[in-house]
Amino acid sequence: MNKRDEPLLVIEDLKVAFPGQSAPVIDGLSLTLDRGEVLALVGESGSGKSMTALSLMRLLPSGGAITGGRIRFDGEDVLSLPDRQMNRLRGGRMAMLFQQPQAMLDPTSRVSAQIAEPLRLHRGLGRRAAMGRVLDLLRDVGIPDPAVRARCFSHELSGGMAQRVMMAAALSGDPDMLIADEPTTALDVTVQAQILRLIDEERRKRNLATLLITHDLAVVAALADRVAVMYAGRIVEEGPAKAVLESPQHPYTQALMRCSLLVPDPHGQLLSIPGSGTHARELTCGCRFHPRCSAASQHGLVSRCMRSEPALKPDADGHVTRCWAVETEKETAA
Amino acid sequence: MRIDNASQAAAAGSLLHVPPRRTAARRLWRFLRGRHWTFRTGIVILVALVVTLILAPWIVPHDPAVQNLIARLSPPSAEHWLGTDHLGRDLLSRLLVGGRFTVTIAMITVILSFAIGTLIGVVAGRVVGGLFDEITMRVVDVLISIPDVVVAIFLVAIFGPGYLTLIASLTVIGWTPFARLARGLTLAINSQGYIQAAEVLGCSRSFIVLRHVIPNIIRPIAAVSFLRFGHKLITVGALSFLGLGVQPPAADWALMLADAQPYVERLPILMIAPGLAIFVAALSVTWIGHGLEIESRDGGSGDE
Amino acid sequence: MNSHTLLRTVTGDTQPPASQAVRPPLVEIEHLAKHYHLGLSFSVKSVDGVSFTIGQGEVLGLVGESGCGKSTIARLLTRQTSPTSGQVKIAGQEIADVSGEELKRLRRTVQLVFQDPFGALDPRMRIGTSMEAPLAQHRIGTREERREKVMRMLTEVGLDESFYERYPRQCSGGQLQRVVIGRALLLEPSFLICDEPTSALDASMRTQILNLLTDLKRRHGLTMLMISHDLRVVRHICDRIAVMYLGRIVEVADRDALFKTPRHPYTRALIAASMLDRTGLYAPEIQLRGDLPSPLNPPLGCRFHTRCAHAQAKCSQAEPEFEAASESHQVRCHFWRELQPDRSAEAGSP
Ligand SMILES: Nc1ncnc2c1ncn2[C@@H]1O[C@H](COP(=O)(O)OP(=O)(O)OP(=O)(O)O)[C@@H](O)[C@H]1O
Ligand SMILES: Nc1ncnc2c1ncn2[C@@H]1O[C@H](COP(=O)(O)OP(=O)(O)OP(=O)(O)O)[C@@H](O)[C@H]1O
Ligand code: SF4
Ligand SMILES: [Mg+2]
Ligand SMILES: [Mg+2]
Repeated sequence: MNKRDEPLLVIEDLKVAFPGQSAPVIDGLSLTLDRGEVLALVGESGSGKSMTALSLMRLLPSGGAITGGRIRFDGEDVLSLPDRQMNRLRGGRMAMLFQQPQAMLDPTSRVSAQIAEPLRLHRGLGRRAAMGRVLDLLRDVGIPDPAVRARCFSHELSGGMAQRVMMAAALSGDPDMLIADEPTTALDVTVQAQILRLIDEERRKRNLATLLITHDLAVVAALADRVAVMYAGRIVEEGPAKAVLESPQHPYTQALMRCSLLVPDPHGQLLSIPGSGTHARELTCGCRFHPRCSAASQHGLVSRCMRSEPALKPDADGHVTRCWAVETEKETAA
Repeated sequence: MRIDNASQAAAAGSLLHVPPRRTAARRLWRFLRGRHWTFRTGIVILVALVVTLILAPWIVPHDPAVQNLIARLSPPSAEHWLGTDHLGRDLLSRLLVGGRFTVTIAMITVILSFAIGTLIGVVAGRVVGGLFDEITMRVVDVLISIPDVVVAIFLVAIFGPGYLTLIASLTVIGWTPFARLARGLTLAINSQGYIQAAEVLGCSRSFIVLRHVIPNIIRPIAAVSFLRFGHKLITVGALSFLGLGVQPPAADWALMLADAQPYVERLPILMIAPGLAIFVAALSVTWIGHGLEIESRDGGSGDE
Repeated sequence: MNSHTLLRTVTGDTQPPASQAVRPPLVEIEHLAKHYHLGLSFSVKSVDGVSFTIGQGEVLGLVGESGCGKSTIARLLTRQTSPTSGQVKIAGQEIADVSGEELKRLRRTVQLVFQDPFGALDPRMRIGTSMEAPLAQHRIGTREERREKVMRMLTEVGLDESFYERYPRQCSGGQLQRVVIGRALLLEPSFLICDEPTSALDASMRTQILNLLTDLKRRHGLTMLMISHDLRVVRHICDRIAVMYLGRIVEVADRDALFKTPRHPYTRALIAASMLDRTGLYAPEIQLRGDLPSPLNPPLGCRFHTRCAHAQAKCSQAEPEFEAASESHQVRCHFWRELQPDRSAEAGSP
C-alpha cells in the first residue's frame, strides 16, 4: 500500500484482554489518525482510553494482551515489529505522555538525565548538545528556571511541573505522533494554554499528529480536529470535533456534556448519569449503555436496546454513532 | 434533574464478576513461569541439592568414615563410583555427606544476617539523621571492612570450633551489607507517596515498616542474600580448610579439597569432585539471586 | 433534548448563595512559610507567609498557578513536612506540638486526598487492604465491619466490590483517584483536604464525587480545603476562595464576591480565562503576558507585576499589603481601588 495515502496511524478492530477477566477491556476499536491531526479520545473513566494508548506503544501492563486487530503506523504493522525496532519507534517517532507523570519519572535520577537519555540514545547527541536541548525543551513547556529544575529529582517538582517535564521528555525525540494521556490535569488555565499552544505549534511546524486523551471538553474544543467517545471499551461516537461537541448524537455523549457543565439543580445536586458503568463490558447482549440510557425509554426502544447491540452508523459528514435511537430517528426523518 | 434511569437495575444484576481464587500451587507456578531462566534453573539445582543432602545418610552407598587402606586412591569403579580417597574411604559417600555441614551453616547465617540486617537497615532508614541511624551506620562502616574469616579465627580461638561459634562469627559481620542496602532502599522509598499517605492516614510506624517498606524492598535484598549465600558457602569451606570448621574425620567438601592436595596428580577426581560440588551449590544460589535481581530491576510487580 | 436551557457559564448566577454565617475557625494558619532547598545555592519559597482560617463546616477553595505552593500547604496541614516558620492550629491546637496518641487522633480527623493517586497507593497492596488498613490502625470496628465499610465506600465512589481484590496497577487513573478519595472518607475526618480530587474523572463521575462531598458537607458539616484548577468545581463547592500566586495569597473572598467582583488582576485573569461561552466549551484566549516567573527568584515588589496589565512603577518597588476591600474580602494589590470593580474580561490584557 502506498504510504502516503494511508493515515499515519490506523487501528483496526483492536481487542485487548486481561487474563481472569470475563470480558475484553477494549473490544473492537477502530481509529485513524492523520499527520498533523489532533484526535481527542474522551469517555468514561475506566473505559479503556489509557489501554488503547498503551497498546499503540506495545506497553500494556503485564498480563494484558492484544488478542485481535491490527495497528499500523506509517504503513508498518506495529504488532509484528521486532522488539528492537519497536524500541526505536517508541523513543523516536512515537512518543507518549503517561497519565501518571510522577509515577513514570524515575525517582532516583535527575530530570535532565531522564529527558537527555532518549536524545543521546536515539539522536546521538553529545552531552553538551543534549543538555542544551533539554533546557530548551523545559523552557518550551513553560518551566521557569530550567537550569535549576533540570537538576531536580521528581519528588521535588509540583504535580504540574512533573506533567510538563513528561511533556518535554515526550517531545525530545521530535516524534511524528504524540500520545498524550491527560496532559493538562494538574495545570491551571494559563499553563494549560501554553501546553496546548506548544502542541499546536509542533503540529504546524512538523505535522505532529496527536492522540489527546482528556476529560476536559474545553481542551478538546480548543485543540481537537476530531473526537472519539469511548464507553466500556467501545467507541460509541466519532466525528469532527465541532459536530460532536455542538450536536452530540449518542445519549452517552449528550449526558456527558450536560454533566460537564456543573450546573446544580435547585437542591444543589449536580447532574450525573445514574447507575454505574463498571459492569457494562460484561453485558452479553444489547447496547452497553442501555441500563443507564434515558433515550432508550423515551424512544420506546428498551427491548431492542437490551437485545441487540447497534453498529456504528455514519451520517453525511463522517460523524458516526452507535445507537438505536439515533438510527431510528434518522430513518423516520428520511 | 437526574437522567431517567429506566433499567438501571439490570446493570447491577448483570453478570457480577467474581475473580477466581488462585490455589497456592497455581500461584507458585505462575510465579515461577514469570521468572528469568537463571532463577528457575537455580531453583531446580538447589532443590535437588538440598534433597540429596537431607537424604544423604540413607542413600550413601558406603559408610563415609570407614577406611580401607588396601583400596586407597582407587579410581572410579562399579564398587566405588567416584573412587576412594587417600584413606580408602568412598568418595561419593563422603561427597554426599560432606555438603550437609557447609550448606546448613551457610543457610543459617545468611537467613540470620538477612533478617537482622534488613530490620536494622529499615529502621535506620526510617529515622534518618537520628542517633540510631548515626550509630548503626558507623558500626556498619567499621564492621564491613573486617574480613569474616578473621572474626571467625578470633572467636574460634576463644570459644573453640563448633556450629554456634561459626554461625555467630559469620553473622556478626554478615548483617552489615544487608543493613546498608536496606537503609539505602528505604531512603529511596521514604519520598514515595504511599509512605506519606500511610503516615497521613495515621498508620503506626511498625505498620509502615512491616507492611509498606519491607514488602517493597524485599526483592532486591533477597537477591543479594542469594548472592551472599554463595559467598558464605565458600567462606565456611575456607574455614574448614583452615581447620576451624568441621573436624576430621567428619566429611566436608572443603576439607576434602584440602586432603586431596597431595594426591591431585595421581587422582584428579579427588579434587574435582568436591570442588565441583561447592561450585554447583554456589552457582545455583547465585543464579537464583541473579534471576530475582533481574526481576526486581524490571520492577517485577505484585505478589501473585 | 433542550440541553440549551442547561447551558450556563462559569460566571452565570445559578449557584445557591453561600451560607454567610460566621463560623468559629477550625483551621488557623499564621504566617506559614516553607522553603525548600534545591542543591546548595537555591531555595524555593514554596509557601511564603500565608495566613488564613477555615471556619467549622466551611469549604475553602485554593486556586493558583501550577507550582505556586498549593500542595505544599496541604503537606504542611497534614504534617508531612514541618514549616520553616509560622504555625498551623487545628481545633485550637498547634499541630507541631502534638505527638503520640494525640497525633494519631489528629491524623484521623485531618485527611488528605493526594494529588497523585497512583503514587499514593502501595503498588504491592491490594486496594481492599490499602483502604482497610487505616481503619484497623485506628481500631475502628471488627474485621467484618471494616470489610463491609470498605465495600460500601467502594460503591459510594462509583466503583464496585471487584476492586477490593485488585492491585493499583489493575485500575485506571480515575478509578484510583476514587479509591484515594474513598480511603480518606472512610476515616470520617472532620477536616478534609482535597488536592485536585476530580482532575482524572470524567464529567459524570466528577459530578457524582462532588455530590458526595457536598452531601458530607451538608449532613456532617465536613470542613474542607479544596485545591483545584477547575474554577467551576471550586465555584460549585466552596464557600470562600483563596487565590495564590508564587507562594503568597493574593486574594481571599466569599465565593460570590470573588466571582462577581474579583479585585486582584491575577484573579481577574484567571476568571476571564475560564469563562466559557454558552456551550460550556470555548474559553477566550489567555491574556496574561510574559513568562511564568520563577519561584526561586520571585520578582521584587508585587510578585505579579511582571505579568500584570495594570502594573505601575510602584508595583516593582514595594510589595502591596494584604488589605481588606470589604469585611470578608482581602486583596494584595496596590491599585485595587482604582481598578474597575466590575468583572472585566479585559483584565490582564495590555
Ligand atoms: N492490569 C490490569 N488488569 C486488569 N484490568 C485492568 C488492568 N489495567 C486496567 N484494567 C481495567 O481496564 C479498564 C480500562 O482501563 P484504562 O486505564 O484504559 O481506563 P481509562 O479509560 O484510561 O480511564 P481513566 O480515565 O480513569 O484513566 C479499567 O476498567 C481497568 O479497571
Ligand atoms: N520536596 C521538595 N523539595 C524541593 N522543592 C519542592 C519540594 N516539594 C515542592 N517543592 C517546590 O515547591 C514549589 C511548590 O510546589 P507545590 O507542589 O506546592 O505546587 P502546587 O501549587 O501544588 O502546584 P501544582 O498545581 O502543579 O501541583 C514548587 O516550585 C516545587 O518545585
Ligand atoms: S442504543 Fe439504546 S441504550 Fe444504547 S445509547 Fe442508544 S438509545 Fe441508549
Ligand atoms: Mg487513563
Ligand atoms: Mg500540587
